[in-house]
Amino acid sequence: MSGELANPAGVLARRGVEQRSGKGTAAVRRLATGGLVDRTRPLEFEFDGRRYTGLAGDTLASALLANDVRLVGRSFKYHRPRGIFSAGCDEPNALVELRTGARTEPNTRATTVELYDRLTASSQNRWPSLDFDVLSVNRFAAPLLGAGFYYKTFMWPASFWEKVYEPLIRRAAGLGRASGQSDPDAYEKSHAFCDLLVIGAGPAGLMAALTAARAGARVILADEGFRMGGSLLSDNPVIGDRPGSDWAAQAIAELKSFPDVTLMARTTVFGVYDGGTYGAVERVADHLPSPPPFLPRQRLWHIVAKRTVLAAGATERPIVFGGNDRPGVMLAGAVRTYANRYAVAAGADVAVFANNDSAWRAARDLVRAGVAVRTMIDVRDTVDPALLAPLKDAGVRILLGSRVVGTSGKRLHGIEVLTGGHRSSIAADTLAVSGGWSPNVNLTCHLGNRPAWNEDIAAFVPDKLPPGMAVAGAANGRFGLADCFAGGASAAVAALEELGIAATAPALLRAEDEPYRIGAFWHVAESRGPAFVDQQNDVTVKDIGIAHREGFRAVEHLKRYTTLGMATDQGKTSNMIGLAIMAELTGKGIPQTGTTIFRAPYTPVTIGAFAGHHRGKEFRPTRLTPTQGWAERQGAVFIETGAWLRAQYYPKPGESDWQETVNREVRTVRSGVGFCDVSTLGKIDIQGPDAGILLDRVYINTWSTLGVGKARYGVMLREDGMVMDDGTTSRLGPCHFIMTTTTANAAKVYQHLEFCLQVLWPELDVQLASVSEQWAQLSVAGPKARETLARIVDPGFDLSNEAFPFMSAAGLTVIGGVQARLFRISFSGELAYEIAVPAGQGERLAEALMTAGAEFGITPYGTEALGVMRIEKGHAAGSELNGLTTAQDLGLGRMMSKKKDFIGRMMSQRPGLTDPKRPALVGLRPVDRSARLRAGAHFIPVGADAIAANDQGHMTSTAYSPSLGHSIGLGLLSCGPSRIGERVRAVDPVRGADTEVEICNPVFIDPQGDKLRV
Amino acid sequence: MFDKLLEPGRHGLVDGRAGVLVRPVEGLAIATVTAGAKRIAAVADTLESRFGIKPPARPACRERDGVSLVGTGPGRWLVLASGQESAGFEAGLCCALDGLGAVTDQSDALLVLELAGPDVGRTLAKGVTLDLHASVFPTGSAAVTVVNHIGVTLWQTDDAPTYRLAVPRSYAGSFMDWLAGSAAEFGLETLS
Repeated sequence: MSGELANPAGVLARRGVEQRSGKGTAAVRRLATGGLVDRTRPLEFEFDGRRYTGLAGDTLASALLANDVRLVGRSFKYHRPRGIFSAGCDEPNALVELRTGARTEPNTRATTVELYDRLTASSQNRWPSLDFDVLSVNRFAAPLLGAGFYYKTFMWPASFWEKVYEPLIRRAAGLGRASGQSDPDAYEKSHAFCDLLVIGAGPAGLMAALTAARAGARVILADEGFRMGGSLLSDNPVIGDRPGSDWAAQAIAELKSFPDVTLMARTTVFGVYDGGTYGAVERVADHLPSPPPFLPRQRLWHIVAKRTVLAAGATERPIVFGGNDRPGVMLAGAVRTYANRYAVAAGADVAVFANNDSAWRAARDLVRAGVAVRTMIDVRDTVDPALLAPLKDAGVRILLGSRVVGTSGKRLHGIEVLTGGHRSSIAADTLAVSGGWSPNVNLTCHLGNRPAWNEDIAAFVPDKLPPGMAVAGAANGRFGLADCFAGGASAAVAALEELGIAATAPALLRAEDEPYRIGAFWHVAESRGPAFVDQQNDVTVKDIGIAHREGFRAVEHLKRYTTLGMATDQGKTSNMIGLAIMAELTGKGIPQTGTTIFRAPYTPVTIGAFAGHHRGKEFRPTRLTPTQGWAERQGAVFIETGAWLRAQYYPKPGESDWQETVNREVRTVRSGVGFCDVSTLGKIDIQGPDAGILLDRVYINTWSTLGVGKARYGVMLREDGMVMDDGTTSRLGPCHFIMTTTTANAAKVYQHLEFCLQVLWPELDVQLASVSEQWAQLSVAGPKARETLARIVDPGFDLSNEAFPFMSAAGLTVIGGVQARLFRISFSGELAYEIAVPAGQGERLAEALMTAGAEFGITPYGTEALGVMRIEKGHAAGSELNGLTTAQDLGLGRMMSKKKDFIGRMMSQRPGLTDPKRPALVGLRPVDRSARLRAGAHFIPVGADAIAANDQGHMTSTAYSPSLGHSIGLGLLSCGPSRIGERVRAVDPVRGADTEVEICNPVFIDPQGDKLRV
Repeated sequence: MFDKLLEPGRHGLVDGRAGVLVRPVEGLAIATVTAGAKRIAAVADTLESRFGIKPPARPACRERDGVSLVGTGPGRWLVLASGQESAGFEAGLCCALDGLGAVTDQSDALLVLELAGPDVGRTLAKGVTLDLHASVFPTGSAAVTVVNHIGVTLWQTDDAPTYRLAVPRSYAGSFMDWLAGSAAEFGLETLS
């Protein structure tokens, strides 16, 4: 296929032919028999525009190998051709773009992708084609691109970094590309609980789960693969007289029969958290072209387990030598897996290079499966004769005390071997490499533990474990099959015993338990050509030498300086070798060198899975007011205010923009009557004999003297003396108050009161209940408010100014027997009432008000008009109650009682908070009345430079006042209240405004408050 | 209110039997009853003599003759009475307690939903962070918890299992969106 893909026209022509014939290429490397693939279910797929056929049970990698596709990607930095290296989640090279369009998934490991019909994938980091890649010239620049080159190169000039160097590097380096489109699929989260969580469904995990299931425990068995069985599927062991895969299938069938056992295939437990909590991601629909209706693509699990058995197996690592990244160089265990599980011969002429016994068994299995193995190379001088025999019988050439020093071919076609000082060339299209196995200790380390070095197996093994976790099988450094079974069973028995659940280990199975011997060996010093330690990040042995010479010797420094062990594989096949090479260089030894820290996630997790349902408008819940439906029918425009959706304004036909509508709403209220839903304000029911005392202590003003049936405005401070919140609270009975808070602080104030009662003053007999949800509360304001209300209150209630004056509160019934509360309070500055009815009656109340006020031209108004009128009245709101202002700053200093103590009193007397130069609330109006004021502008003295040193405060709120016919503002200005009549500039460098303004009383309308009391 | 949130009928998967059934429980008078630390026993006694139910002193629900008492905190209960008019129910309760404890009407504050069906557990697991397994959360258990960032009170009324959830009114729409999405794979049947 060399050269074919460089010709796009050729590709198209050929695809056309294939599409017409409807057949993919024959799978030339599929073995005639064996494997756990379904030969009756062929699956068509496409890679880089070419069509192939695989089988159900294949991964994308096994299907590509079956079709003799050996070149699958280009490397990260040097664009070197790369092939499939492993058969699992440790894959550094075979990263592909899966699917197309909005569903494109970059950097997907072909070795973990379950093949499905019509799968489409393409290679990455190549242009114009995988086979002919222009940027592979980077290879010739390799001496410049070594460790730390980002830090050393492109240092000057600094201005070039963002515009030139970074885009250049980003184009050249990197892997796949995101689709740039919105993800069309759904994700969700779920929670699960169990007595025993078993992570990994290989021999140890299956046995642990069976043991626990038979004891009646609640068990979750999670495995990252689509078929449970782990090494039982890939190593082809014999258990009793049957294949290991049969035993696995039987164990799974038995597990499924227990009601309290949950089997989670395609589920990676990626992280360990406090309290026996585990994070897992279930790939619900990744093995399908698109998720079926109503199913998410992935589901994030939050698993809480009383005990856990980690049976995550082990990862094979290679030996590093010159040219070890050539397509065709693979892990020996992977070559074995492809033959045993997928019935695929990774090559036609296989050589094996190892330092341990497992690779010999891999070679034996290959021979048995009918894969041509011609050469067995081991760095050790002697090996167990039992390993030699089957290979010798098969005519395999055996080279002990030897090592591979180099390779040749774009796709591997030969290796150079050093034996006793003599170099020889040997033909091979596949080199199966094994440097031994590293237990998957990752999850044992997520809570901060470090693994311990075990000399016997030349690997790190679990040491200190997270609470509640036990480790069994290969993850614990026990590689024998009988060891795995026994370890899984005993770990489960011990874990359940701690929970008071009696369990017994199943009878021991007759299983091959072959010894594992290793001669620690990391890299071939005599190598010819670059020797890659981390293939994913193109980190070579030489780079580790550079890091050593330049002082980046600690493993964490080594990682960051060279990028060794970063990206999607997190160095699963490379970290061990990297640190071993560094240990050699420093002479410190491996245990002293240690590992980098293992962090979650174990394998990459899609961000979408963490978001779950919470995207777009469902990022957080939306709260709707009791009059939402009614307001929608009125054609209201809505605005999000925190979690609430509120009516912003109610446009009428013919109104050209929001300003015109808002002006009309304000004028109607100021001249007639209007109403607004203020149900979003927090409402707290406060009952008990000590309720007045509580209010005295949380508010700066006095409450215990408030008469029943009266309302009062209150301000509360934080302990530090700053204003926390304000609102109106009414006394409904001797022991009963109803507090209102601002919308934003409703939950915070309730929490504050609970804290006061539970922690500060538990002796107070006060009971709280939030009633924010219970009441629909509408503010009815304007000179005609009383006349309007008179038409809806039930007979017998006297609304007259004498009977129900300003700041009164009462319970009553309205619109024919609806229970209600009426408060004569005003935010707008007009004659106004707030009327509350049970939330379910909110829309009925709105309709009744519309009818009652029709004669006066009543209008509903939204948050915009509400805001305009509060600015006209100089009331502080969110922009002024910003956590940085004191009561004094807001002109409310005189409310602070000197006769009692209250929260924040002491700290409010701090010199910094009583400084007369502090910015305090004033009104502002433009000298040129046609000018528009903007919130956020800074106050600068007239004639002074607009620099920070001359800053005297800022504009907090602004509005166009339809009542005054010009723009008005509120602001916090240094010495503000004593400067009324002066002029300053409102400078807004962001929007380029510099407006001269007059300082005035913040109450623009009816400063005497006469309108409130009529 | 409920019919505006979710159309009656089948949602999500349409094949076979619906995995989740949801029904609004209407006509409930609901109130919180709160007792000061020194008067918890006295309030509990009063509630017991009024309703014939011993108020649970832990997160649990007890029901008799259409009245449910759900323990939601120390000295704190949610009282739900079917077929009663809310203002009258609150007034009667106030009168019985006679200042011993605080009574607050919440009849309009909460939407009470009944959830059942073979997949109700798997659906709730997508939002409820508690273990609802029968060995841990049997019939009569209650919890004040969070679903989809929404504070809810949840209790189990029978072994089917059937659950009731009290959802704050303003959040009801978002809650139903979550429920419809989470139950979609099993099929959701909305009953009236």
